[in-house]
Amino acid sequence: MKLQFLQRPLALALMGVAVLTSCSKSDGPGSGGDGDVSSKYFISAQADGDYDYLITVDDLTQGSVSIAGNGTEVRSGYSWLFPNPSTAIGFIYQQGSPGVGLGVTIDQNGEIVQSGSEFLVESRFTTLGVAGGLAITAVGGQPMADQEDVYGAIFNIVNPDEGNHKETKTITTTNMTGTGEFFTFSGIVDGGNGTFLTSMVPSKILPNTGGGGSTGETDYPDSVWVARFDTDLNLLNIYGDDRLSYSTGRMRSRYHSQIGNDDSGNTYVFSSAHSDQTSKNAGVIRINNGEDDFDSDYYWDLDAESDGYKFMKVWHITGNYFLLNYYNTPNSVDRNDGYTKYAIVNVVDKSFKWLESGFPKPEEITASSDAFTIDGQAFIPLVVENQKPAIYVIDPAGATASRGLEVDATGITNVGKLTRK
Amino acid sequence: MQKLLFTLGLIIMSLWCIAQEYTLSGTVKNEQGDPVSGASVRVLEHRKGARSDENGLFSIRLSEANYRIRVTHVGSISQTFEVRLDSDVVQNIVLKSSDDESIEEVTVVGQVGVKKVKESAYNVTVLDAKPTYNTSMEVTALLNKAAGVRIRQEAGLGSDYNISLNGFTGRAVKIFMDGVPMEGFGSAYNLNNIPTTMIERVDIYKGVVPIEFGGDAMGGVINIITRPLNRTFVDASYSYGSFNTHKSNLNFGYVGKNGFSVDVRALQNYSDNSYRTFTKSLDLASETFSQNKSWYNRFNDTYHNESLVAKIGFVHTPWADQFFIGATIGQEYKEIQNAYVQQLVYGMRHRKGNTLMPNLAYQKRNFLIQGLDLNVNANYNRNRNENIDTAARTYNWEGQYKPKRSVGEGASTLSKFENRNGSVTANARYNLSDQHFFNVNNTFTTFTRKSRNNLALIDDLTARDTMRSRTSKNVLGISYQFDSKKNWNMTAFYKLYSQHMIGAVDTSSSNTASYAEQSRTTANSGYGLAGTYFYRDLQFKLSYEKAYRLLGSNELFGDETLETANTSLRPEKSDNINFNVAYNKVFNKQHDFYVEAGLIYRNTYDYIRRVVEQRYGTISSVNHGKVLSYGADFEARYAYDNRFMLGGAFTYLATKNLQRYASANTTVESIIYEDQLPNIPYVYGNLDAQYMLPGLLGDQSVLTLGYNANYIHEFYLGWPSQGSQKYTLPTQFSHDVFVSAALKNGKYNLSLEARNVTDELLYDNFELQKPGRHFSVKLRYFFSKSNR
Repeated sequence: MKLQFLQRPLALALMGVAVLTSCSKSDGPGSGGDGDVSSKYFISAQADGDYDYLITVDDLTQGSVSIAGNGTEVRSGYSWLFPNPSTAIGFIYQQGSPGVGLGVTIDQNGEIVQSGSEFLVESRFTTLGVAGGLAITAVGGQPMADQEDVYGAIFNIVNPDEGNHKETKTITTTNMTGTGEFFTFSGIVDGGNGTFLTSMVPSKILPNTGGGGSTGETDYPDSVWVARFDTDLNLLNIYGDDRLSYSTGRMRSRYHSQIGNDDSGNTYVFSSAHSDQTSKNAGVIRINNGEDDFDSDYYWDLDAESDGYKFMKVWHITGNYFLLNYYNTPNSVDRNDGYTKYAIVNVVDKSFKWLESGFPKPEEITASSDAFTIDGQAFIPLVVENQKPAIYVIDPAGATASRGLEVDATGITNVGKLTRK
Repeated sequence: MQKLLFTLGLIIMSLWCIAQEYTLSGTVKNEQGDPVSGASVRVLEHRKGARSDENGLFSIRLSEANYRIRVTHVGSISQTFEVRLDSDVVQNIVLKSSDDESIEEVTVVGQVGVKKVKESAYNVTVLDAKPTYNTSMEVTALLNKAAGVRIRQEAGLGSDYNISLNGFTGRAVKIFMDGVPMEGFGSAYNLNNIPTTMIERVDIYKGVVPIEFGGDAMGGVINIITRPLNRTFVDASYSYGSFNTHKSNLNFGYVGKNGFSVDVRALQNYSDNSYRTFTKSLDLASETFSQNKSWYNRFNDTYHNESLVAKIGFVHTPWADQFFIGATIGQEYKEIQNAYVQQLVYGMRHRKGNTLMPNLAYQKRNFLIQGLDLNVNANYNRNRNENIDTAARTYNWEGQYKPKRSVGEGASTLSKFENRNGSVTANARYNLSDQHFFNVNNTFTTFTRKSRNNLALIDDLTARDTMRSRTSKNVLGISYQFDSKKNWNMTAFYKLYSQHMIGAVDTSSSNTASYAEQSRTTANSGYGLAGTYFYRDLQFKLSYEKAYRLLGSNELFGDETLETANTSLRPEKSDNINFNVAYNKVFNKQHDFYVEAGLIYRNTYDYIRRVVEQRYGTISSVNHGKVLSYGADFEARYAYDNRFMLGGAFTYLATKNLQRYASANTTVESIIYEDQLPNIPYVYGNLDAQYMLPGLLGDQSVLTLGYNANYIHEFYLGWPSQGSQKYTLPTQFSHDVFVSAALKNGKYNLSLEARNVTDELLYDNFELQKPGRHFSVKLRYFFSKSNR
């Protein structure tokens, strides 16, 4: 029986999140001979309760790790972003209530320690990303205090280089394109020169609008819009195109990004044609690095490739490869049909391959988290039926996968890499 | 398990033959022939005794000997007589009234008045409220003194609280007031704002619940007994304390000659709750928190409530022992100072509520036929709550703010909710003989919630919350009790639970929710038995119940994240077993000892959990979860004459997660298999002592010095086996003292209290601090008149 009587010194437990700043431990496995660790992979793992655990490992491609007696306890509900190589910034999703945001890094022993100050997460967020060394979240559809029938978006911008100094910026998104509708943002990618790009999802203003949850219908489903902002939230440019519908995946209140940069700073804008009112196919177009318009020569019809299946999420892997997450039933964006099917596309070669070899079947995957790339390698955390959560290593060129690090927890939320400054 | 029960049963039965005890019983009546309740019948040799019940009956078990018995009652001349107890003796007493309208004596020695409940076969803790009348406690503070009970409160006066009973919490613990479910009462009249001067005592039934309390109480029941109206009385008090706290309470009851009665109780609480809090501050410019904590005074935590409970009716008429019609009205205003962690502060967020509850009570012995006692209670409750969060500001602990463009400090809400609840409880007890009793209880409750108007609720709640949600529950209980008239009795019972629920289910498959009303009816059977055996100064009790926690509407129909209704979802269940041993003895006629140990065993399973199935796109509730809890509650009391009293309670609880598999659909072993459950206090206790000095301040005066300590051992907030740097709720050990002067036999009272004298950092929930050292002074007037 694991009945635990507490014997820890009281001092350790006094301040909530300050567990991150407390005692350093002895060398962990895999650290260098002189005890100085330069980098570790970061994993936030779930334990089926109110808390998640942050652990560090050396290798994501093999072996196993457990959170039993291992890991820094944090409240569950954090999404982690990696704005620079040494820091992970956590935003907590508290369904509208404010929360405490965290920054972490690793110390010389490879252990998780606090980085910067705790910061205030006041609004909810429905999309998040990094750009120019900043961690950014956004939520749309927020009623503005001073005006009726005017809706705006609230951005949280955290700067880890300034101790997690945070700006909350609000902009009105009503009538940005002259249609009288308001916009919610989906996906945040680096636009270079201190700017970022984000896809704009239109919505009519309806009597019950408010709270940012439900994007209502739109009268303009046959266009795609992307905005370029600087980090002070000045609107620098709006990109529009009529070849695609708006760019976002939807799952309840989350707006899943369908935009991503390749390794050269070109931004690919995918659209799953999620709206049932659109006549456009799912496809992808791009904004070349620094340009003011979509590249009119580039278009790829993805509906033609996918036998009627529709996608929800998009992640860049490496080079020109992107990973797409598809719904399990053709011609459906019904969340009740499941969404555990994956495909790898090369946007330049225009090749499309289902990710099947070495990869679990869709009906075997019970949970998955965001895919991520570290040092050119691609990974996706999955929970496969009757198996412990594991990180799958993806080979984009061959569209094959293999089971890597197994994590003895109930799930994995985010993975990244932390390199000491 | 069953073998254990059987063996214990055998042991108890075999001890039956050894003792030679008899019963002294009788009826106490006044000169008019009316039964007198609350008369004290004391055995002088033992300082043992009983109080006459509402029928004037008393009954005491004693070994064969000669005794002197003294009977006293307010307004009557006391009587002493001798009795030789070599067989069961019936001695009826007629009390003559005295000219002296003296008041109920101020006595805190022994708990003679609560004896009857304690001696039942159930695992029950009884808390006498009388010793606390001169303090300014609410009922929640009194509840903390019970072994096995832990109240976890968020902040100061009026703050939200949670009751943990042997590790069970939330809907597994049911609260009753005089046998009526309090579930729908609303927060304006509730345990955290009702002063102890309004109640007589609290009975806490653990794990095995008599059928008189109709409800699905898998952990147990807390029954608050309000002060009975036996005679005309007035109890008025006012207290003033730290943080600009004002509390007043007026209890007035009138009983007329023909039985016409009026009962009015009014209470008022007000506090700024401006105590200081140790927390991190927010720099508004950078929106970052300080690394270290400092002290700040709370500035948005004012609380006040006002309630009136009134009833009129008749007592002791030929057609009713009691018939009352009444109403409770209350209102409440509460500012909300912080979110789920202390450092997140609100400056203007608050909520309001009000309650209107008409009710009816009827009680009659020998209703229509001899031996049939009937008891009926009905109430209807409408309560309204409003959350107001419209400030477009961000505040910090310094009280500074900066404007922001979006509305609402938390989730922007101007939501109004209206709950309408009703309950009808009927209890019929039939005495077939003086040994066989049948009892039938039917409790029907209905609960409807409707949101009245919303402004920007979050996520997809908007549409759903405008639809109604209604739950109707009926619990029919039947029990048979056998009283051996010697030294043991037992009860067997059966409960039929039926529930009908209406709720809104999301029937859409797009990302815009579309809600449709659906309904479902369920039925379940529960049962149990309880027995007790007396041997000399010992009492043994053994009880068992198969108990349930019925499905909640959101578990069945869903809420903002749940979508798929699972029609095969079962209620949570528990096999509950209690074994108690109590010892009560008086030595040298002066030293009164009481010790009780209660062992508990709870095997709880079919927990309701959420399962997300991404491959199917479903989120549903399933039964998956199994916990074994066991532990012990200890209680001990010592009283020396009328001078000194010492008491304490201590609980040890072990809980073990025995769900082997990580989820309902996997063969992977759970990482928390066999782990102790998180966030449950498992070692805690309290101690209280009182020293009385009669006559020091004049004739008929008593000066009381009191001390109270509370201890709760450190525990983990997360699963103990997971992680290496973990949150805990640190050990809490706090002390209170008070001095109280009762003059003219308790007619005038003045008391001074100091709570948390060592100024500890106290919190029941992670970092949500309660007040440090604080003081109060209370003035109380009490008058009681016998009915002539």
